Amino acid sequence: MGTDSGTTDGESCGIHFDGTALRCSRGQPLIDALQAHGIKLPHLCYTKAGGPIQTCDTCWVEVGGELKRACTLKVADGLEVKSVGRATSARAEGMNRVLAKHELYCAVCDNNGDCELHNTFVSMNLPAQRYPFTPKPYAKDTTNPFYSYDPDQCILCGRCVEACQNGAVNEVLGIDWSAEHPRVLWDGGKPIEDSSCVSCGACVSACPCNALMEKSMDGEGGPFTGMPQKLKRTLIDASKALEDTVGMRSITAVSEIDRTLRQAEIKRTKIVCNYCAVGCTYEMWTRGRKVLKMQPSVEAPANGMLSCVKGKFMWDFVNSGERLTKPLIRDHGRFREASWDEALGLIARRLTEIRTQHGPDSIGFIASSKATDEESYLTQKMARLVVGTNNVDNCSRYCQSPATMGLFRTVGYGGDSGRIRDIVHADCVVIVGNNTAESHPVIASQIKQSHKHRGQKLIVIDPRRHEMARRADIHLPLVPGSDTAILSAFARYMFDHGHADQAFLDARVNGVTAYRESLEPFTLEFASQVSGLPVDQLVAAAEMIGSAKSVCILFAMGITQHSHGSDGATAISNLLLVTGNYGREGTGAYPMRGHNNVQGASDFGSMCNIYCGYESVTDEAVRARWAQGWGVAPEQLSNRVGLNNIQMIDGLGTGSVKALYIIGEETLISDSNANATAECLEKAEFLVVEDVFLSKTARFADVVLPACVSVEKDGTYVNTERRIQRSYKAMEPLGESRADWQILTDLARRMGHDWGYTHPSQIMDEIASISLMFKGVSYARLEGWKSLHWPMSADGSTDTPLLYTENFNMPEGKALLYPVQWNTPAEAADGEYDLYVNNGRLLEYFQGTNQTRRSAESGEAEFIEVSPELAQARHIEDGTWLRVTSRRGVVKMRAVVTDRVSGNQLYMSIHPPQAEDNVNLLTGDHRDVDVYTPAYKETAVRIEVLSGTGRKPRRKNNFRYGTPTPLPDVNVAAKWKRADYAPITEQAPHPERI
Amino acid sequence: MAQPIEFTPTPVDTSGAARAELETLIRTLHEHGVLRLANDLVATNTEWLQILANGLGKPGTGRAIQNIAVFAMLLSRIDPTQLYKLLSALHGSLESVASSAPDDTHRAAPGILGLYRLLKDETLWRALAPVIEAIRVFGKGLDAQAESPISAFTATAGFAAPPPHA
Repeated sequence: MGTDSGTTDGESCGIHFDGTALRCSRGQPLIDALQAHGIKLPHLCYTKAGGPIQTCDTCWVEVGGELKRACTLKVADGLEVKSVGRATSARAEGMNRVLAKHELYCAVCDNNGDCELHNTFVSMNLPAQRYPFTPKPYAKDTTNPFYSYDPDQCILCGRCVEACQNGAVNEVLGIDWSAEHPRVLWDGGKPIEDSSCVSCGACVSACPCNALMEKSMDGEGGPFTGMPQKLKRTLIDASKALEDTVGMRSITAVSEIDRTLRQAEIKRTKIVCNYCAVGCTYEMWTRGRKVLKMQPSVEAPANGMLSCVKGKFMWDFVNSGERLTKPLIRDHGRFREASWDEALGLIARRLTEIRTQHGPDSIGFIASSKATDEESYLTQKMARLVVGTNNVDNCSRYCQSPATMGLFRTVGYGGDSGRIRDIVHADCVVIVGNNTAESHPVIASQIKQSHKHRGQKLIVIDPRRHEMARRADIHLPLVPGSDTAILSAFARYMFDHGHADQAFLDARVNGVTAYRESLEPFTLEFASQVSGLPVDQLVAAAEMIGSAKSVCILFAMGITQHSHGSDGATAISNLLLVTGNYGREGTGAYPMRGHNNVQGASDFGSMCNIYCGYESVTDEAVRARWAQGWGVAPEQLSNRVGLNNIQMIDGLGTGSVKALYIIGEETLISDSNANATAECLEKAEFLVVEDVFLSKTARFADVVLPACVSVEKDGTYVNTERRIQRSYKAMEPLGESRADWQILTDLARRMGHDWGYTHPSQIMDEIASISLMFKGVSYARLEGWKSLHWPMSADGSTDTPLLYTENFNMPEGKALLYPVQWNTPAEAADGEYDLYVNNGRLLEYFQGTNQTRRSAESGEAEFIEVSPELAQARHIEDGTWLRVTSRRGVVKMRAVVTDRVSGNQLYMSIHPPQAEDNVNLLTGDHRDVDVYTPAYKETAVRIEVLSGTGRKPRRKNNFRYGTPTPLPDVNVAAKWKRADYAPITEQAPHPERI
Repeated sequence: MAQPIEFTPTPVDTSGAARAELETLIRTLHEHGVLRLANDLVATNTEWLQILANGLGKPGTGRAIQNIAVFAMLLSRIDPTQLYKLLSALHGSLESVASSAPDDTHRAAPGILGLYRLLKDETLWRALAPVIEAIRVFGKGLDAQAESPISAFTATAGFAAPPPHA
C-alpha cells in the first residue's frame, strides 16, 4: 500500500500467455507483467499497492490445467498461462457474483469515469447480469464529514480494509465474514463518526467503485448525477426494466457514452500537496473551479496511494469566499480595495524612499515556506539585487534551523540523509521529539507498515504518549529538554560496549578522540538523573540501537525548539556517526521538515547568510558569480550576513528595520511572545503582506497583496527528502489574485529590474545556470511524476537519493564528531510557574489554520491537555476552564484530561482559532543560542482553575477516543469457509448470447 | 503605529460557473464545427427547408413515415416478452432451415405416380426433414413458458447455478 510496488530480481524471463511468448521480469506479479505488455486481464481486488487479496474471483486463469487466481501468480521461467475457455467462464462467474452485491446505475453515478468495477465488467463484455442485485439490510453511512460508505454498493473486495490495516495502518476497518450479511465495519461496527477513523482517505482512494466516495463528488461527477435522488431512482428502475429486455451491453453503452462525456469537462492535474513536507502528490480532479477529489497514485514517489485528511480532503480554502482577490491599501485607518497598478506603485515608491533614506538594510523580506522554489529564489533576488540587502529569511528559523546547524556541523548537508524508503527499510527507527502520526502522517504510516509487518524496531523519545509512542517497542518519556544528555549517553554507551563502528569511524570520520573525551560526563546514570528515566530503560534502548544493522533517526521540533536545539540535533548526528549509520540504505538523520516547502525555501536562497544552493554571502567568489549571473557588479550585492526573521521583527521594535515585506507567513501567530511581536509589527514604518487570506499578520499591513493558492500556479517544491517535484496549475487564479512570482516580477520591474519572466520554468533555468547545487535541474527532467533529489550532476542525469555513500560534504570528505554539552533549559518550571507547557500540531489542522479551518469543524483545537494525576490534584475535569499564565502572557483554555501527558506537563496545539488562544502569548524570547530559533518548548506556566465547566473541548466521538481493531489482513479464508460460498473450480454454465 | 484593522473581502462567485459553463460550451461547439454548421443552417434555412419539404412531400417518404408510425403504434401494444418469444422461435426455425443444404436434384413436377414415388423417396425425405424440423422448433418455441429474454440466462429463471455469495 505504500510506495514500494513489489520486488523483482530484475532478471528477464520468458512466459507464454495464450500461446504468445512474452519477456517479463522474474518475480513480477503476473497481472502487472501482462499490463506492461498491454494485456489487461480483468481484476478488481488486486492492486499494485495492496497486492493480492483474493476476494473478487474475477482474474482466473488456467495454469497446468488448473484454475488459478492470476493475482496470486508471479512471473517465473516457463510459466504457461491460458486465459480463455474455462478461465473466461470462471471470471464471468466471479464478476456475476460481484454484481449481485452492487447496483449498477453508472450513468447517474458520480464515480463513473474512475470506476474500476464499471470498466472491468465492460471490458469483459458480459451479455447479462446473471444474479439479481440484492440490497443489504444497512443504511448508507454519511456521518463522516468527508466521505460516505454505501453498503449496497460495496462488493466486499477488501481493498479498503487492506488500505486501512496495512497501508495507512490506522487499523480501523474490517469485514466480519461470519455475519449474515457481511459489510465493512469501522472499529468493529460503529458509525464512522464514532470510530477511530482519522479520515486519511486511503480507503476511499482504494475503493474500486462508489461504495466509499468523497462527499465532494456528491452530485458533481457527471452531467446526469446532480438530479434529485427520486428522479434518479425512477430512471434507474426504468433502465433496469429495459436491461431485462435488451441486455447489459446496450445499457453499458450508455454509461460508456456518459463516461466519455465526463472526460471533456473533468481536468486531472498533478499537484504537490501544500500542507506538510512529506511531499505527497495527487491528481486533483476539477471541473472548472470545483475540486471534485484528490486522488493519490502509485506513481507518487513519496506517498504512493497514501494520504492524510488534509491532503485528501481539505481543499475548501481554494474557493473560500474569504479569499483576498484585490489589493488592499491602508487608508485613514481602514483598508480599501485598490488596483494592482496603484498597490505595486505605492510599494515600489515607499521601498525606494526608505532605502534611500535609511539604507538597504532597513528593509527586510520574509519568504514563504509554502511558496514555490522559484518564488523563494525571487524573494531573495528581490532582497539582494533590487534592494541590496541580505535581510531575507524563511520560517525554518522558527523550526528547523537548529537541525540544519547540527547537520552542517557533522555531515555537511542541511537535509534528510536519504529517502522515506530508507526509513522504511531501516532495522530500527528512532523518533525524537516528533509526533509523526499527526505531523507527518504519511511517513508515519510507512513506519507503521514496517513495524507491523517487517519486524522493524521503533524507539520513541518524547515526553508525550502519542500514537507512535504507544506503538513503540520502547518509549522514553523524558523530562523535556534532556534529549542531548540521553543521546550523548547513548553515544558513550556505544563506545563502552562495543557498538561503535570503529572501521567506519577510522575511515570516514574526523574528531573521534576529542569527541570521545567530551562524552566523559555522559554516563547513563547522569542521563537518568537528568531525564527522569530509569537506567535499565536507557540500556534497553541503547542496546536496540547498537545492535541494529541500520538505524534512522527522525527528529523535529521537540529537539530543535530549545535554547540549545542545535546541540540536540548535533547529538543525534553524532550518535549516527558513532554507530556507522550514514551512507547506507536504511540509515541517516531525518529532520522532519514542517511546511511543504520549508526545505526549498532555504535551498533556493531565502536565508540571511546564503545564496541559492547554500553558497555563503560572505564568499567573494560566490558573490561575483551571482552578480555576473544577474548582470550587475559584485559591489551591488551585499557581502554582509543579513538579519534573520527574529532579528527583523526585533528590528521593527527597535527602529533599525523600517520596512518589512512578508510573503505568506503568519508571523503574529508563529513568532514566540506574540504580544511583543504585535508591538513590533505596529511599529513598522511600512509593512507589505502577500497572502491568500487577510491573515492576522496582514491586519497590520500598509498594503496587502492577494496571492493565489498553489493549485492556481505552476512551480516546484522540495520535500523533506530533498526531492524536487513539479506542481501543475489546476485552475486560474481567483479574482485578481496573482502568483507570488508574478507579483515579485512586476514589483522588480517597477523598481528598475525588468526580469521578464513569463513562466516559472524560466526562473528555474536561470537558477540552474548560476547555482552549483542545482545545475542539471530543469522542468523537462521533473515532468509528470518524475522528481530529483538534490544534489544532482550538472547534466541532470544522476541525482542523490541517499547522501554520503562515498563522501561527506565536509573537508576531506570526512564527517566530524562535534562535541556538545548538555545545558539546562533557559526556562524551566519553578516555584512561581510550576508547570511546563509543551505545544505542537494536530492532525486535522495546519499552523494558523488559515487553510484548514475552511474545511474542518472549528473548536477542537482550543484545549490544553492535563495529565490525570495533575487533574486529580487540582480538581480539573474535561471542560474545566483554566487560566494559563506565563511570564509573557495569559490564555484561557478548557482542559482535556488525558494520559498523553504526564505529571506537571501540559500540552497545547499551535492552531489557535482566535488570536487570544495563541500558545505564543505564553512563549518567550529565549532562543537557540546558535541560530535564534525560539525555544518554544521551554515555557513555564502556572494555572488557575476558573469556576464553571464549559462544554468538553473535544467531542466524545473524536477519533482519538476510538478503539482501533488491528487485523493482519482481510482474512479471505473466512469468506471461503462460509456455507454459501461455492468455490469456482469448474467451468460454470455461461449465457452465450441473448 | 499601524493598528491591526479588519476587512471583509467581497466573495468571488465560484459556484460557477454558469457563465464559465456557457463559455466552455461555446468554445467546444466552435472547436467541433457545430457552431459553423449551425450558422450555415440558420443562414440557409429557407433553401434547405424547401429541399426537406420537397422530400417529405414525395409519396414514398409519406408512406415510410406512416409505416413507421404504424409500427410504433403496434409495438406499443405488444408485450416485449411475447415479441421476443415469437422472434426467438422464428430465429430458431430459420437457423434450423439454414443448417441443412437444399437438394437441387429433383426440380420437375412429380405427377401423381411421381408423388407416390416421392413419398417413398428417402432422398426427398432427407431434404424435407429440416423444414419439418423448423416447423417443429417454431411450434415448440411458441409453447415455451414466457420469460423476459435476459433473465432466461440468469438465476431468476431458475438457472442451475449457486446463489449470490458473500
